[in-house]
Amino acid sequence: MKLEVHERLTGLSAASAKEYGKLVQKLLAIAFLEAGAESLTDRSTQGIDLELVIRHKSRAIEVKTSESGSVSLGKKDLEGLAAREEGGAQAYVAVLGNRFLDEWTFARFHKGELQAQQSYSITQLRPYRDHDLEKLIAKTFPEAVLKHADAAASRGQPALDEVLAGYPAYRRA
Amino acid sequence: MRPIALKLRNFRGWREGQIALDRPLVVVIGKNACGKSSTLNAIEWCLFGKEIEKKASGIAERADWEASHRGASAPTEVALTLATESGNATITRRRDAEAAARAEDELTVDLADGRKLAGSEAQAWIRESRLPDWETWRRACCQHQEVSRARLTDASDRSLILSSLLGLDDFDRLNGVLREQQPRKLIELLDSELAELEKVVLYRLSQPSEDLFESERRLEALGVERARISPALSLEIARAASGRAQDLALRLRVTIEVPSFPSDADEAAMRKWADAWIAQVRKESKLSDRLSAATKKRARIAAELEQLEPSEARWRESKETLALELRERGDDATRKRLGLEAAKTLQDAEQRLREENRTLSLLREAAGVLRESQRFDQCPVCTSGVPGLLARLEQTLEQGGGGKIPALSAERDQARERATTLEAGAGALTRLVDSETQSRKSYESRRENLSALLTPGRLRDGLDLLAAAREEDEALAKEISELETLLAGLEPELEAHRGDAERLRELNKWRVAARRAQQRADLSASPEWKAFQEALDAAACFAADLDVLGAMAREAQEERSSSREEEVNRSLGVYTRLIAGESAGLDVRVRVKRTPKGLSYDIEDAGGGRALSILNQASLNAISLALLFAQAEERARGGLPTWLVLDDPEQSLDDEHKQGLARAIERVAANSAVVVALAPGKLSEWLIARSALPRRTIQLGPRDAKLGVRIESQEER
Amino acid sequence: MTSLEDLEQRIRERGVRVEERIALLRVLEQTDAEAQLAARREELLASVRKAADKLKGTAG
Repeated sequence: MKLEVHERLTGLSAASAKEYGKLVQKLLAIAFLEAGAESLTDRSTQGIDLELVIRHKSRAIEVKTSESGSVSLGKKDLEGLAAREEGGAQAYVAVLGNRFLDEWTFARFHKGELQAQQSYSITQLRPYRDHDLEKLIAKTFPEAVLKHADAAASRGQPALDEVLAGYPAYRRA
Repeated sequence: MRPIALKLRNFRGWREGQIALDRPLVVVIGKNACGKSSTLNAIEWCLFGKEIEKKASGIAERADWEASHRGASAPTEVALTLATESGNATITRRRDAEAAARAEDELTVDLADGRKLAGSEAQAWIRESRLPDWETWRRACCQHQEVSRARLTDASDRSLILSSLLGLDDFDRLNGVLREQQPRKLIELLDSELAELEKVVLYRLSQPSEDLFESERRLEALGVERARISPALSLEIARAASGRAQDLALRLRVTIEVPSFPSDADEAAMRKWADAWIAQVRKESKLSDRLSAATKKRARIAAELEQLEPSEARWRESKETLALELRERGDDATRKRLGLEAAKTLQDAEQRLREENRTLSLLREAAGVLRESQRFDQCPVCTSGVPGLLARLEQTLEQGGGGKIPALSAERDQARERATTLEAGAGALTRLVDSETQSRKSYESRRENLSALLTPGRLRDGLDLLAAAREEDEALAKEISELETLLAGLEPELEAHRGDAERLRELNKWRVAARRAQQRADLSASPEWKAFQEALDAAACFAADLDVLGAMAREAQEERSSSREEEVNRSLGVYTRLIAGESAGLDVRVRVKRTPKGLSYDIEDAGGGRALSILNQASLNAISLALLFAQAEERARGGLPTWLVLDDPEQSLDDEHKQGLARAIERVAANSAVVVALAPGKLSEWLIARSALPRRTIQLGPRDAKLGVRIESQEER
Repeated sequence: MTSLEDLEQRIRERGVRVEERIALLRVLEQTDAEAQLAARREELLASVRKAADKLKGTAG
């Protein structure tokens, strides 16, 4: 990612601590809306983090941020994703590491491939990458970070919720 | 696929021989050192050769088993004929007596259709025929004491044997290969590459920022406030510089086009103009040249003026001297006339002196004649007497010599002096005229020089040269003063411009550094980033696929293990009970252990405890043989070619066990060919006397010193 | 069913990266599978390192 974006995210992480994951999720939601998502639901509590329709395809995305370069998936996360796949959506585990060289990795969920509670290095998720989906937000996510990270750092989730509320396609669950 | 025959030459105890293996059970009987083991070893050597050395066999003594026993010069050769679905095939292994220790054996396969395969083709045929490899052989097909021990005492060997028993050795191999690649380790390596790259890239990215900082620091030193540094500042600076340049051009009265920069001015053009302006203004204004020329001219005028007055004075003096000379000594005609007169006077005086001298000479001659003739009063010419002639002559001579001649000489000298004086006076006048001419010319030349130095029009009517020259000098002095003032003022102006040019250059560097920092900070746009991502994806996919395959293989192995476990345990139980006897109460079974690396297997008793540690040697042997037989049965059930080679299996067994073993051999031989070497005894008796299976009994006699192993008798049934 | 056949069936059933995994199975069928895979592993790792070096060069 751009150094500037990395610096903003690092700053945001330092300023927001535990809330960081949710803030990144909301920035990603903004990026998807900017990229032309026809509808988007963002969940703060239980369930799949982001559900959206973009380019006429339904996607269910479990959003993870990682400081260590690896992620661990919960049983419920995987069950949720499996259910969405069965429901016809394309399910993903989206991971953003906090290193400068990290980009969004949208790993397509396949039942049986990923095991619950097992730690996966982001590198390990590469075989399941959906490059097209990653490309969709390659431009809009850095823009969203540069535009909203400062507000998010100072005011937290409400600042980003306000931004999201401005998009007609956005729904908050 | 079953063995049919074995041909041996120069192998261990064998010199030459052939034994038929064409029955489900072949019993080789002989006392110690008759060649029983040599015979069984020959089968193994034929199938595996040096592979036995390469693999960790645990049978070190066999590593070079044929070497020390072979004939001195003849090759070692063992041929094993097998019955296959497409007819008989013979595998022949041959080794030259002189072959180097590391040399490969010569391996051939003669097929029923007449084809003869050699080397790698022969190896491939053996592999494709699914004959056991060495590892499978030693775990599932042969019984030697050392192997039997390993079979039960080494946990990993035991696990492999049990895995083989469950028909999972293929999965073991697969898992081994996949594990060998260490896919997780590869992921870790890739992650550490990524971490290292991150470190280096971040460090290097800080470099352009350093350049940027350095550039900003230099701009500050050049008088630009940090807050004002921006790409737009170039235009501001260039415009200010352009305004000052226009003023200067006006003051210098030079015509240089100074660009006025519009808002979208080309930054490079601005820099180019600013860099060139100083040299341009210097070149076009020629201030220094002009100052130098005026100074030189003024100096020359001063020099000419300095010389003009003395020159004029010299001319006037020579003119006056000439005039005085003329006034005093006449002009040239007078001087000529007087000269002629003086010359005439001199000529006359000289004439008179010459005549007087001649007269006196005649008189002196006459007086001499008179004296000689002693006729002192007689004329020597006419001889008339003249009294006192001689005395008168001498008086006249004396008067003439003493008075007249000196007077005439003085007159002549006086005339000569006058003539000389007049002549000298004429030369001095010529010189005075020349001198006057020269000094006049010199004066006139100086005036001309001076005139030439004057600005045209300066020497006007009513103004003499000197006044004009002074006027010129004053004008020059003024010009010099002005030029000096301009020059003194130009340097600070140019210095200001130089500062602007430098600021423009530094702003350009700053812009480049800023752009570089920006570009480098966005690696994701570079083709190198794309190439790296692709390489990383390829490696990560390879590792992840291997990892998933490993997981799948373990999963499949586990499933198959579960489905096979019961059947295998039943088979193992049957053979254990057969060999050890029902009364022994040996109830062992395979236990599957799940480890992070995959499945491993062990034997436990019915109570779930480890069975082996408390068993006696006979029971261990019984279990070892039961495992072997169960494996053979499993292989046969799986359609794999298999046979058992048992070398003295009855060790440590009592008669009851031997009887059980005989029953077990009979059972296993129903599906798998069995070659068993035995010393004469209970087991051989039971096998020969009681077995209902088609069998061949080969009795080996004591070894002959020359002929080696010797077949004493053969019997088939 | 051999272990490789078993694995192939499982790969197809799962339907993920089928072609790539079947290609790996083909390698596993070879007698020199270990050497082939090790060579491929080294090759991939080397290409990652080479690409990383180039990237370092770009950044510096």
